[in-house]
Amino acid sequence: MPPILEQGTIRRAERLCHNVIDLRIESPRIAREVQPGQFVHIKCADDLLLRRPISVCDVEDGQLRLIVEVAGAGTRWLYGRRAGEVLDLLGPLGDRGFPTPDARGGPVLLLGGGCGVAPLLLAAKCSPVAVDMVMGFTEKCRVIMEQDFKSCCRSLTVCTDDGSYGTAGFVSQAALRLLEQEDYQAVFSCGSMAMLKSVVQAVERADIPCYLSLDERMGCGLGACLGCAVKLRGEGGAEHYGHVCKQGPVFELREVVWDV
Amino acid sequence: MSELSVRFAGIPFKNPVTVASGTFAFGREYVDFFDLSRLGGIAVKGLTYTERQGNRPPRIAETPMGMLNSIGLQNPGYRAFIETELPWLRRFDTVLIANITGATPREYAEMAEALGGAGLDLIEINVSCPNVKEGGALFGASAGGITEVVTACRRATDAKLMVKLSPNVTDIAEMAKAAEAAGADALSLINTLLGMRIDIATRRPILGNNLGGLSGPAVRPVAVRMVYQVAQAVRLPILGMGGIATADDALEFLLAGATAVAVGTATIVDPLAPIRVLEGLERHLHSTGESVGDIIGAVQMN
Ligand SMILES: Cc1cc2nc3c(=O)[nH]c(=O)nc-3n(C[C@H](O)[C@H](O)[C@H](O)COP(=O)(O)OP(=O)(O)OC[C@H]3O[C@@H](n4cnc5c(N)ncnc54)[C@H](O)[C@@H]3O)c2cc1C
Ligand SMILES: Cc1cc2nc3c(=O)[nH]c(=O)nc-3n(C[C@H](O)[C@H](O)[C@H](O)COP(=O)(O)O)c2cc1C
Repeated sequence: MPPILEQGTIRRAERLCHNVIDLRIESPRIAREVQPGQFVHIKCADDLLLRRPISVCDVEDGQLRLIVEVAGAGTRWLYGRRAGEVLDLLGPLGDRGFPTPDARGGPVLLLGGGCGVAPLLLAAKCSPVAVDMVMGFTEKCRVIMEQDFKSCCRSLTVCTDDGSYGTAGFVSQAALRLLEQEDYQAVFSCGSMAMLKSVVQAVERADIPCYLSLDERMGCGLGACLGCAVKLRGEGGAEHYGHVCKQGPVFELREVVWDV
Repeated sequence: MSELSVRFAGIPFKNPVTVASGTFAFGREYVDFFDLSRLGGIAVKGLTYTERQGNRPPRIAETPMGMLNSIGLQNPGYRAFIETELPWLRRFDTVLIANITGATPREYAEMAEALGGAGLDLIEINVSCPNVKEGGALFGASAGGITEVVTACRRATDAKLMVKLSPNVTDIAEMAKAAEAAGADALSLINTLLGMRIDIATRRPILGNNLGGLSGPAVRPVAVRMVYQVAQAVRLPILGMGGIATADDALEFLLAGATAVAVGTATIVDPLAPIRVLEGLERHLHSTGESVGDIIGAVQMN
């Protein structure tokens, strides 16, 4: 699907918790094409040169839903946006999002950390099989999107690092328990690098496909500037650099070379 | 000839707006946005003698109105380019510019010969990539190095040769003169300025390669100054670049003495940037009733 440049009008801007905003953006052309796991590349303030990649969390009635957490100047600018304002969007980007589960296969396990839960919502909604969701946050006041996932998942486990809400502990620990009980056909995951690495350790033993949405500093978003490199293992084991924006942003964990 | 067309090193360009090497890959990513035949020329991603995987990530760090990159010439090698990319690119009615970096003068010469033989209109000799040990920067850092590389290429091909100069030198005019004396047909400038950013939390450079090349609007005044100095020093036509994002930016380079311009980093931000520059230039010329030729080198110094 060719990427589209579109000026999207913000219809709703809702702060979910401190430094996290939920944006609904009227962007019918991009919304029509977007697949789970794909992202849009957003031009932020005039004095910030590069666009910022943000995953599409959901689509409804020609609107994109994006969840943005403040990480620096660009995301802080997005956090300050209000309904009625217009965003310069490029998308949908990424040749590979989360795959469509096999309708005859087992359920799918979704593992999300922090804002990384966002792209898993569209994946859950588009799944032809049952999904179990585990979402992890540092503490109670950071928990977001609980209702969204409750309404489309077979089960939902909320974890907090400090135990202030839901299950105490990390997503990977809850995932291990579920992986022992159920024959999942695949795991989908998105979150910080630290979280992804613990997920990788938990899932590697289970020998089922695990699809991860990766983060890398990005330029054009189209596969032209070759900026957002990720080391991959090709057929035959040879290592090479692929690019998150084009070949990803979702990769199967065994094709990624995890540098320590 | 339309008011936009120029002759550059004897080659007719339908307009003076090209895209800079490394910011446009081999063009495939941009056909969804505009007809590549609208461009005056396309400089393809930097080619090396054999395939290169490029540098370890992160490869990009944003800076105030600029960016550092340390891609490290990730490319499939010049032979793969000739076999798989060139036949596709030929369908567009635009000047095709190869961009080559060798580890030795001999590698440069072999690539120039093969690409000239394959019918490339213009061969850009990159002696200024700051991101690779054998990125040619070693050659581009001295007049002697430039002479060596350009002489080798000149012997190897009759194709038009354009030397891409590094801004990371004390006196760029001296480098330009060396290229001219060795038989270059044109010059392009500037390549990126060597830079560095440090993550204060980890106390490590942000780029995996530690250092990278600075591009974008932040470098534009330096680039305009260098184009002016080089235009004063040599008779060769200049392809000016460095931070061009609008038609006004392009006009500065033309006034400073460039015959054509390249849009680089701006395309990374906005895929339509080269077309916006072109259309703005067209409107400007229309309003003043001038042609591009009237503007080239027309700056009046105080
Ligand atoms: C495919 C993809 C999807 C993403 N989806 C979301 C999402 O749904 N919600 C969300 O809140 N965040 C998401 N992110 C992360 C988000 O893009 C970064 O937090 C953001 O770019 C940081 O920009 P900044 O200006 O706030 O920070 P700064 O640190 O000021 O940014 C400086 C530069 O570094 C880059 N950068 C810094 N941190 C990151 C990072 N973690 N990943 C990529 N680039 C970075 C910026 O893009 C910018 O070019 C996603 C990243 C990727 C690659
Ligand atoms: C991501 C990136 C990759 C680049 N790759 C090359 C390259 O392969 N060969 C080359 O000669 N110049 C390369 N350059 C330099 C540009 O062609 C240009 O000289 C420079 O970026 C200044 O122009 P700009 O500010 O408009 O980008 C690259 C620049 C960027 C930003």
